[in-house]
Amino acid sequence: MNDMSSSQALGTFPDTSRTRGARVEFDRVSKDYGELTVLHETSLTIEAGEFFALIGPSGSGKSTLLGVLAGFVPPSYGAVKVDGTDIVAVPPYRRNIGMVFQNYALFPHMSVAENIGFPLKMRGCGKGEIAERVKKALAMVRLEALGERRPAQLSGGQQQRVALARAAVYDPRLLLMDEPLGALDKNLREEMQDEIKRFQRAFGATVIYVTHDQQEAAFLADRLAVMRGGMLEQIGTPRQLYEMPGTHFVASFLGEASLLPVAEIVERHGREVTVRTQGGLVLRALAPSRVSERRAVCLRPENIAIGASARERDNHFLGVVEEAVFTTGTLRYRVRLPGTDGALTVRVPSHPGIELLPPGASVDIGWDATMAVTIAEE
Amino acid sequence: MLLAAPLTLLALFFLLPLLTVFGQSFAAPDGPLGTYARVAGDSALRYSLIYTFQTAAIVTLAALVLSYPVAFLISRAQGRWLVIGMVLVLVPFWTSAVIRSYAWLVLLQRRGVVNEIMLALGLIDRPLRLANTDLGTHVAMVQIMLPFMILPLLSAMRGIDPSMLRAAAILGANPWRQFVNVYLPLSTPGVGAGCVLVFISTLGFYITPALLGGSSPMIAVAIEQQVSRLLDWPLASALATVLLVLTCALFMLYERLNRRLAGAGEGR
Repeated sequence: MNDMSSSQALGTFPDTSRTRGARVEFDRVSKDYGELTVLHETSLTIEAGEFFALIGPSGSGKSTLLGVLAGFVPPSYGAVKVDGTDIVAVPPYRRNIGMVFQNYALFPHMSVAENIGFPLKMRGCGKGEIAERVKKALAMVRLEALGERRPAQLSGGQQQRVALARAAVYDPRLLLMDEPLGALDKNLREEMQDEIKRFQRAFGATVIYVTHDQQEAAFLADRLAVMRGGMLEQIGTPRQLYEMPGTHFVASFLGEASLLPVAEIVERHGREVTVRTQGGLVLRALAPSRVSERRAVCLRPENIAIGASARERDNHFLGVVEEAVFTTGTLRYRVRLPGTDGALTVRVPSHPGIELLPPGASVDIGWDATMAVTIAEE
Repeated sequence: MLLAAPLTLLALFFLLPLLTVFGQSFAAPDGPLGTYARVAGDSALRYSLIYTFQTAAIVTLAALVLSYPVAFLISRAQGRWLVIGMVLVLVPFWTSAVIRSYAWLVLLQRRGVVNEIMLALGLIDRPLRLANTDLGTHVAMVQIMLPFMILPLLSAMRGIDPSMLRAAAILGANPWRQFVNVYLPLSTPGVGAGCVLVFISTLGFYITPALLGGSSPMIAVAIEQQVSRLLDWPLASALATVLLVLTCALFMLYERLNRRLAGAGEGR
């Protein structure tokens, strides 16, 4: 593996097939502009061949982290290692990294084929080889017929595919994608998500994918990192992050969550705790190892049972419906529990045999201890 | 209706005088085409025309070479540096060419600032002849033309998406290839516009060559001489017509070239 990386210098080409992805290591990387720190000391390892997503709101530092890896943003401190070699001093054009930009950054003065052939031309490939590989790349993204067009003559989705082909045509072992689907409409975005996933499986490169769309990230990535304020908030598989969020921020950034602030921990037993909420409710929940003084119980709307079945749950309360709406496929309630300020969001699958409860109705709601998790409240 | 007033103005003060000049060029005593025959036959006038085009080419090229890096720097500047850069371009631009030509005369004449400094520094023993040379005139004309080159370049360069260069870099282009393969082609609309503007303006340059002189009169100076010294209005008109026709022909050539390039951009 290490031999591969050192021979991966500009101008050498492994055969199209079977190049494995690169392993990326951020070692205490930080970036500040004078007084303003945009990236606090961050360490992160991304395994070879992994599809890794960086998510977070704008200004959270995810694009800075990507820029550091691409070589556009020199880090103020720290090392960036690709397969064990520090690349901080290597200029972008010698890093042999593929990148898809948010606005695609296709060269408007070149045809589609010239755009895709550009990285090969820069690597000194011959005309024949370029033509052949461009043809293959065009076939891969199913744009065989459009090689002679200019980027401006293509639709957004087609431009996106050209950008992907251009970033992949030289077989980089590391592919960066900076909000690549941000400019597309919803249907096209979902279609392209499938395509990107299929593409990465076939291609085998390590992909680092920046997005602010949590659904997209969860669908595509093997692992994700949630960033906030220039720091990594939590890293894990999409399921870990959704089901066991560590903080309020992660819980509400990925999907919908209801929080019950905790007043005190009554009892600990193994993975579970019994807590008293600030509203005076006593309930059981999972307690991940992370310790923090201020805590809350986090509940996902689809895990709360409503009606008769709620009575059999570990935690069972009588609430009042505050709001009831039908959204496609689900009935969505806001239910207030006695003594609490806010209301819990409850979502149950909708079908003709179920009645939508009116606001003001009393209702049983309940959930098992393993369906709720205590998190850090900031 | 809205266009009536400006159109009338144009017709009265532009088209009418132009037609008068055009008509006058045929009003020679030796037949309608007599003046044109004299232009063609007069080697000094012929040379003046050639010299004018040659000067315009030199000035355009020099202005382009000097302006490109300046425009690039300003296009990248931000905040205070951007303001300073723009002021340095615009203040001369807003200053009358007459004033700047006189300033150059003060700088370049025999006992001018440039000669005095070089004498004081011991670089030369005797004052150099700077005014009334091609070099001096060209320098002054280039300086006056710089903003006409910098501004179109700047507008083209500011329109270049910065992610273009990043994309080129990550795709493997070193700084030189980023420039040659991406930046330069994307800035060509500005290069074309600036060159046409400077070339055509220089063709009609009057005050600077009139003050600073050179190895031959520029055509505008020659026209003025015909009118004010020789009182030969028909010949002056014929010269003006020749200049106008040649300028228009060049401009149309540029437009056609431009359209062909843009046409290639629409897909082949």
